[in-house]
Amino acid sequence: MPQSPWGADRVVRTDREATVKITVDFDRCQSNALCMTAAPEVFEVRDDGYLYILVEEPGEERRAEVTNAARLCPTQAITIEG
Amino acid sequence: MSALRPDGHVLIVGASLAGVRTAEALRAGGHRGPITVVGEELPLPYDRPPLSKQFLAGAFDEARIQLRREDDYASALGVDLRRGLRATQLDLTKQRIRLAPIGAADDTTSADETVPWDALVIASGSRARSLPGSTPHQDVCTVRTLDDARRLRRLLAPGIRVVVVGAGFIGAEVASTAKSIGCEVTVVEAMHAPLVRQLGEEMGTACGAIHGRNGVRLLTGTGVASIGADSVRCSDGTVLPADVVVVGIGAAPNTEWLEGSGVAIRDGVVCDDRCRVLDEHGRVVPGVVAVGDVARWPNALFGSPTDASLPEEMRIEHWTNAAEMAMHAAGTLQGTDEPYQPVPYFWSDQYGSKIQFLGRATGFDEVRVVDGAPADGAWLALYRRGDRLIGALGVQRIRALMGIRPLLVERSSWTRALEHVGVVDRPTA
Repeated sequence: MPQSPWGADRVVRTDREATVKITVDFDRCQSNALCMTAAPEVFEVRDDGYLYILVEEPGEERRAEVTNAARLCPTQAITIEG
Repeated sequence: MSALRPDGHVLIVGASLAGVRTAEALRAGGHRGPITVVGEELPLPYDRPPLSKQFLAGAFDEARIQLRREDDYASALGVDLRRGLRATQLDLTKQRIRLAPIGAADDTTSADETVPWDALVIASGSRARSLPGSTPHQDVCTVRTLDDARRLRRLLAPGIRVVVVGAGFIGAEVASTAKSIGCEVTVVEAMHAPLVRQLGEEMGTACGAIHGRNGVRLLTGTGVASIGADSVRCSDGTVLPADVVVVGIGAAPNTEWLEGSGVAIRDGVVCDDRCRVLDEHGRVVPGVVAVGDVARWPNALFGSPTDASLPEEMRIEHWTNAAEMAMHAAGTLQGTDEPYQPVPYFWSDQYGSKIQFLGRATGFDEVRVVDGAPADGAWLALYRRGDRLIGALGVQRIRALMGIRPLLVERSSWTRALEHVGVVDRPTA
C-alpha cells in the first residue's frame, strides 16, 4: 500500500487536554482497518484504501481504545505516546 | 479460578504471536513474577503473515518480521525466552512439563529437563499438514515457519514452474507472490472451489477467480495423485511440470505433547469460554489457559450451527485471534472473569487485492452480495444463518466491511443488516 497522504485531511482538535499522541508508520500500514474497529472516532480507512487519523492527539478518555487499536494492528504500525 | 499470585512463575509453551502476546499482556496487567517462554524454533519470535507475502517476495528482511528485538525479551519484558526446546510431556498433578532439545534423538532423554509452573499457558500452535507418502521431488515446500519461507524464497525465480497444492489463503498468497516474481504458477485444488470451508462454494469460486485474472492457472476438483521428481500428477491424469511444489493444505494443532495428561483434546485443546483449559471430564484445570491456533473454545457471540441455543465452538488459526485471545487469557489468569467472545477476523492480500472476512460462515443459509460485484473483483457479501447476520466478506471493500463489525457484535438480525447496507429485503415471489 503506498504512503498515505499524511495530514491531508486531518480534523483539527479543539480539546486542549489531550494526553495521548498517535503516530502511524505508513510504510508498515497495510490498511487492515482493525484500528478502525477498535477506535472508529480516531482511525478511518476510506474507500481510497488509505488510513486517515481523525484525531492525532485524542483525550485521555480514548486511551484504552487507542491502545487496543495499536495492539490489534497486524503490522504494528501504530505507536502511542504520552 | 483463583487469580495467579503476582510473584508466581508463568510458563508459556509456544513462542509465536500468541505466546509472546500473553507475556506482554501479563506484564501490562501487573505480573511481577518470572515468565518463561519456550519455543521450538531457533529464530527470534516472528510474525507469520509476511512469510507468504512481503518476506517471500524479498521486500521484508528477517529483522523486519521479528515481533520484538532480541534484547527486549530480557530487558523490556522480563521474559526468559528459551528457544530450540520442545515440550514433550505435561504433568498436571506435579505442575511441571518436560522439555527436550530440538534435534535430540527420540530415544534419548538425558538432555531433557522438567520445568515447574504456577500458571501454564498452552500456546503450542499448529503445523502445516503435508501430503501423505514420499516423493522423489527435491523441492516440496510448506510455508509455515521462517525456515520454510527462507527455503522457498531461495527457490523462487523468474521462469520457475511452481505448482501450488491447495487454493486456501496460504496457497493463494504464495501463488500471488510467485507470480509477482515471474514464476509460472498453477494452483491445484481438490474441492470444486477454493475456500469452500471458509466462505462457501459461491464466494470461494468468486475469490478463486482472482488467479485467472492475474495469469495464474487454477485447477479445481482435482486432487494430487503423486508428486514425481519434476512434476505433479493430478487425480484426473493431468501432469503438471513442477520445479517447485508448494503444499498449502491446512494446519494441524500441536497437541501430541498433551496426550495422556488428562487435558481434553478434540482437534485442539478444549477450553471453556474464559480460555481456561478443561480436563477430560469437562472440569477447569486450575491455572492453565490455552491461546491461539491450538485452542478450541465456545464463542457465545455465535450460535452453534446445529443448535442455536448453544455457543459455536471455534478453533481459529488467524493472526487476530492469537493476539486477542492472548490478551483475554492473560486477564483470566489475573482474575478477570469475562467470556471470550470476539468477532473472528482474517484477511488475505493477493495480487494487490485485499480480501477480508468478519464473523463466521459455518452452516450459513444464505450469502448475498450487497455492494459491488464479483465480476469486478470488488464486492461486499453478507452471510445469514436463520434470521441473523453471522459474517461478512469484503474484497477491496475495507471501509464498508469494517462498518459491519458493530452489527456482528450486537448479534444483529438479517433485516437490520440489510437496512444498514441500504438493501431492501423483498420476499421472493
